[in-house]
Amino acid sequence: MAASAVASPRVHDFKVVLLGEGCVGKTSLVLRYVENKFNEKHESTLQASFLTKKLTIGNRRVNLSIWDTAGQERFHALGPIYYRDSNGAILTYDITDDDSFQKVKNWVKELKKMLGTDIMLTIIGNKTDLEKQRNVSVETAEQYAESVGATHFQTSAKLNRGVEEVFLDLSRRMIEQADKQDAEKRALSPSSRSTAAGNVVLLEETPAAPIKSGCC
Amino acid sequence: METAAARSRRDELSAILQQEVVSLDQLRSCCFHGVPDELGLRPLCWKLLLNYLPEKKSKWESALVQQRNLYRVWTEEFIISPGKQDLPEDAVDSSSRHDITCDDHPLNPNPQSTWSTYFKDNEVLVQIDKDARRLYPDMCFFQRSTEFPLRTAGSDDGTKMVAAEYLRRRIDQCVLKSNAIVKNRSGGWNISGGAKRATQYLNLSGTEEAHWEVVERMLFLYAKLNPGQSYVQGMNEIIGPLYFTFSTDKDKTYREHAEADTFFCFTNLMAEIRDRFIKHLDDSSSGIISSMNRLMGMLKEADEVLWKRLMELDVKPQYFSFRWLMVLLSQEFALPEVLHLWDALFSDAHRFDLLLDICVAMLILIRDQLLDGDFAATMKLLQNYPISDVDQILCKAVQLRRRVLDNLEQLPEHPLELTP
Repeated sequence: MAASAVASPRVHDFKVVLLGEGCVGKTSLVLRYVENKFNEKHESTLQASFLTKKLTIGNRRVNLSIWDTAGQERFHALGPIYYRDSNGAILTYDITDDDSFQKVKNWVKELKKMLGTDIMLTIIGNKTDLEKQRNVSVETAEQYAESVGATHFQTSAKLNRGVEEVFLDLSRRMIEQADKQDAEKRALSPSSRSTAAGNVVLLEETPAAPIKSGCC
Repeated sequence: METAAARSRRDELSAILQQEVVSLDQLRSCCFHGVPDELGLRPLCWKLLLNYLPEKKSKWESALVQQRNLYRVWTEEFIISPGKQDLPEDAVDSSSRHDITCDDHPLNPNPQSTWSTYFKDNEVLVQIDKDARRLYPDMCFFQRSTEFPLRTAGSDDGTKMVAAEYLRRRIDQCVLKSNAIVKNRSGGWNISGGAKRATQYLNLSGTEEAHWEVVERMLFLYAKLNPGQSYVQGMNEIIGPLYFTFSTDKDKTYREHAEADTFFCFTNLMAEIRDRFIKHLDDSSSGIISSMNRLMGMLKEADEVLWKRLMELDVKPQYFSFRWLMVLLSQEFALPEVLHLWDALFSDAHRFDLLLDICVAMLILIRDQLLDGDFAATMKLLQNYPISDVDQILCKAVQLRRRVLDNLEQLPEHPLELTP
């Protein structure tokens, strides 16, 4: 860690949370991304699983801490400890299950209310390998995503379609957001130069209180 | 190689079980160190330890007959003919038993209506279905067909169905229904949902049931009989090891009734731990949050350095011990180890205090690694617990409990006779 700081690539530590109804494929997506594995079945997630992934985008190095959360309503109350301080959220639905898409909308509302616009949102329609059983139209989902300022992707964890792109796009947007916040910080305190110089920025240190926006 | 200790424990256990009145105290202290697998006595011991079988042997048979009959009645009432009891006779003809038709109707706004209940139950059923299918995915056992499928009495044309068929049809209906809704929105009728379901049952004929379907039926019945709890994810992880144990009993008669026996043992076990599954009890003294807080308090007591480290890293107990406590560690170890661990848990006279001791022991056993790691390393260790030797963990747990009691200056001979 310390050695790499000499070459001074910016290192970003981002926290990403996966939310969505049970059985939409959150665990499959993240296992595909982190370990490039796919199992037809795995046990249901209780509490939340923690995974990490390192990637490089341009001259930026990104360490992702990923929380794969439990889907069932029972565990909803535990959500805040996982999404609090998150830089990004991936809200997943199953394209064959319209209810799961409605649940995504609920999550968007909750996140906007609790975190404002600080958090980057990505909405994913998973299981495109089951295209024939599709119950959520692409247009509907895309329109909705646009209306809440989220990007929308379609994935198949099973066939490894679109998964990499999701995390890449989200990472790019989290970097942009981090740059923007840095710039704002600098603008607020022009005298303090220390924050600007090539320091290792730990985004977990961004202010806990989100900038409240007018949404919802 | 069998050790002398194991042999003597085996003899001791056989002797205890041969008594006309089985002494629960003796059974507990003997089973604490694990019921030897080769004797096939675990199913019997668990039935006793979970208070399903009475201590008096002479009462076993009548108790079993009574409970198994009761289970049969419930299956009929809640699965084969749901709502039948509320309906006039002619509304339930043999060909449409799973339909509910009478003065009541699907759009009845009354929440007490049979239809309304039926739809709400379907949501629970679909949820259970998702989880039961993926129970212990690494084992083929739950995907295999059962030896003794539950057959229904048979309809007028003489065809007999397995009980699982009723829930299969009901789940199929739910899937078709949701497709129909989409038809209204997007205009395209999509019938493939039904086809998709059908393929998932392809490997079983209409006269067979898979073990996971039996689990599904038990969980659905439990949800019906306990509406305050309904079904919560994790219950599948509790019932799974029980059902596995009972349905692999060496005794054929017990195997044949594994479902009913599992159901009642599960119910008894849940009576002791259910509060952890209920959201609105999270903050009560018996809820999951206070259990986690107790665990951290005990860790602080036993190893303050380690406790401090976890605090510094902001590794919250929710991140790891929520799952540990909620499903009695069944997701942390392979099934044979879980069974062994549960021998001890079920033998604990102050049931599930031991669970907290075990969790503390698990933390302390990997303290050096925990003290070394950063947040990510610590989290990964805790979520993929590295030690599989359950005996080692149990030993440590007993040691910890002894030490606590030493401090209280009241150390009886045997750890299980200790009182808090």
